[in-house]
Amino acid sequence: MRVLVVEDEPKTAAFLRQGLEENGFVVDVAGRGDDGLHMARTVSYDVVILDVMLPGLDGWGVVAAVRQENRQTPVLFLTAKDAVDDRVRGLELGADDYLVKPFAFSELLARVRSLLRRSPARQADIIKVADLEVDVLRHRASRAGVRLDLTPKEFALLSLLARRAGEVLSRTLISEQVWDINFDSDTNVVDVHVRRLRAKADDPFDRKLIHTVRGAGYVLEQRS
Amino acid sequence: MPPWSLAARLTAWYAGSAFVMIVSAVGFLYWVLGHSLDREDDNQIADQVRVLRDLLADRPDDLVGVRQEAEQEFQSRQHTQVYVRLLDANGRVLVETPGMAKLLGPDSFPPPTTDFQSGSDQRADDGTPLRVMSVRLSGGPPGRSPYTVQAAMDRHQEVELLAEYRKHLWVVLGAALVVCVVVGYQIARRGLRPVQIVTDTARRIDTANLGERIDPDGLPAELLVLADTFNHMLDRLEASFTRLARFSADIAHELRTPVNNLRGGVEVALGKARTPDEYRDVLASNLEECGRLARLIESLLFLARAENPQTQVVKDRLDVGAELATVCEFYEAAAGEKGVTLTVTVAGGVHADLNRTLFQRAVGNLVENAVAHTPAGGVVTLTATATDTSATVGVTDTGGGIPAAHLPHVFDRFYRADPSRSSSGGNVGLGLAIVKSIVELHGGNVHIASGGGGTHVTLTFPRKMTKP
Repeated sequence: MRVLVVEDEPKTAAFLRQGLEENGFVVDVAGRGDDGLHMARTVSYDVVILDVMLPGLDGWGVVAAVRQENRQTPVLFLTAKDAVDDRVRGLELGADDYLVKPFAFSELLARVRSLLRRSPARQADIIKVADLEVDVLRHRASRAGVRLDLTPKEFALLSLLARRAGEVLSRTLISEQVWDINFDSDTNVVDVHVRRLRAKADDPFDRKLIHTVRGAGYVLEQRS
Repeated sequence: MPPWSLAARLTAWYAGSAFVMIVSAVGFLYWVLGHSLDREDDNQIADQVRVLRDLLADRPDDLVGVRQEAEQEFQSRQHTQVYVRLLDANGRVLVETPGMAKLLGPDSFPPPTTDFQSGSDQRADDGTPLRVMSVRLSGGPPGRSPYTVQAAMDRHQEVELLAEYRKHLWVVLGAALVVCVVVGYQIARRGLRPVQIVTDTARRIDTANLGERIDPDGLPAELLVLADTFNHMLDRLEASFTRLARFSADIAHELRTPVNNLRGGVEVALGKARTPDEYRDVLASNLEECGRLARLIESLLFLARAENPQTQVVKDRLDVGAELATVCEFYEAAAGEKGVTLTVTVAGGVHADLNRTLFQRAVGNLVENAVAHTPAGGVVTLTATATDTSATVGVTDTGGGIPAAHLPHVFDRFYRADPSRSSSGGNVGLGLAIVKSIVELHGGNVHIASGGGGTHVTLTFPRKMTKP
């Protein structure tokens, strides 16, 4: 997967490159809008990550030019302004998504991945991670053959973590997906839910699957 | 042309009205003087005519006697000489005072009357001003037609007197006009001096001395109201200015803490070589601080945007009860861990046009607050009721309540009823300010009541609305 990052702030560009490369992407970085446009024209990228304020040519100009050439490369906007006008303008010009600075890298990664999942592969009915088995259709979960007694929300939380095993999920994303709560809560509400889930799904077992990533969120994965 | 100043208007009105009054008075006096001079002259002429009439009544045919009498009379008066002429019915001159013929011919007199009242002014042929009277005597000689008496009086002295009088009047009026303007201007200026004082004070006040006020002592009643209004405006300005200044200071303070943590943590970590775990710990701590900063910035931006009157929210028809249940489900675990029960009571179906995310955020903030301030064993109740026009959401807790002194301020930004409560729990004192902004974005209002038994917050939203 090849990603073009057009960003003039060197530190932002550097951590984007490193983070994306470590997550398996091939990354090219351009520091100017016109350079970025040139690269987007000559190389075929899977995703373009575009800052709005750029020297040479701003992000809007880049996306407009790219779209005029009928290239359907997904574009993710990074913007420091979150005025509705900016978003609408970006989306109208053909951007596929946007993120407001400051953003969490895990959030960016999730968005890039969802842009790439244009036609999502059919979800497996039964998800298996180590000795955990989540039967999405029948709303059942078990570990090492032992049935877990979960509330509907606990099951929803577990299946979300299992479906995206290995991916760090932010508290915001979790509350959005499981509780349909769409604002950023400051408190430890999600932590309490995860703690309850752990008490049922992790604590009785030797091998722990749900891990806390400090400052970022939670991940379900098998760690040796 | 610029509009006249107030002083100029007052001066013009004052001077104008005073001058008109003076002119009227002087004109009236002049008219009275002229009129009484006329009256006096008429009386003298009439006296003379009566003398003739009496003579003729005694001796109807003694025209010589009449002439002697007339001449004698004429010569006896030095200053006010009255000429008389006696005509018969055919207009023939029977007797006349010498010199009268060349003064004014018989034909120049007005037609005779029968009373002795109506004298009139006439110019002699040589230009001498005359008062003339023409009378038909009733008692004429028996069997003959009645005599007519024409009398004229030289009144050049009176005319000169009046001319002199008029000359003085112009001088007096001219002087009066000047005095009126000068005095009027002085009065206007004195009257407007308090306005000048108010103006000077207003001009002097800027951000550095917003505390200064207009001194109401000695101001007239009308300006007292103005000064009072002005002072109240300054009170409000000063209050919002102070709030703004405090707000900036609060922001700086809230930013300082996480930045300080970041900096200190990194500096200490870089001080010597460490194990990867130690580095990981520092980085994770930094990430937490960054999250705190990002949330603070997001909240501030949200408040700033909400304050912009252009901001509009997209609304959907929401089942308020279902939304409360969602929020309740989300917070139930955290509340339960604290020993607080979270319940939802909704009477019937309550629907309203609301922005879902913002509504969740407002209710969520209130629930967080309520749970945080309710001791174990307490209950936090969410309610929803509807009227025809509005939907009301209530959040009630059984906590210790908020002291009355803090109640009016709890919706202010960065206001914390208990200043010792640090922001380490993510609480920076913006939660309730955001609740208020959200409700106001929907065109609703928020109300808080608190006592020993707990705190009760109600959010009232219009159920349907066109525009905020």
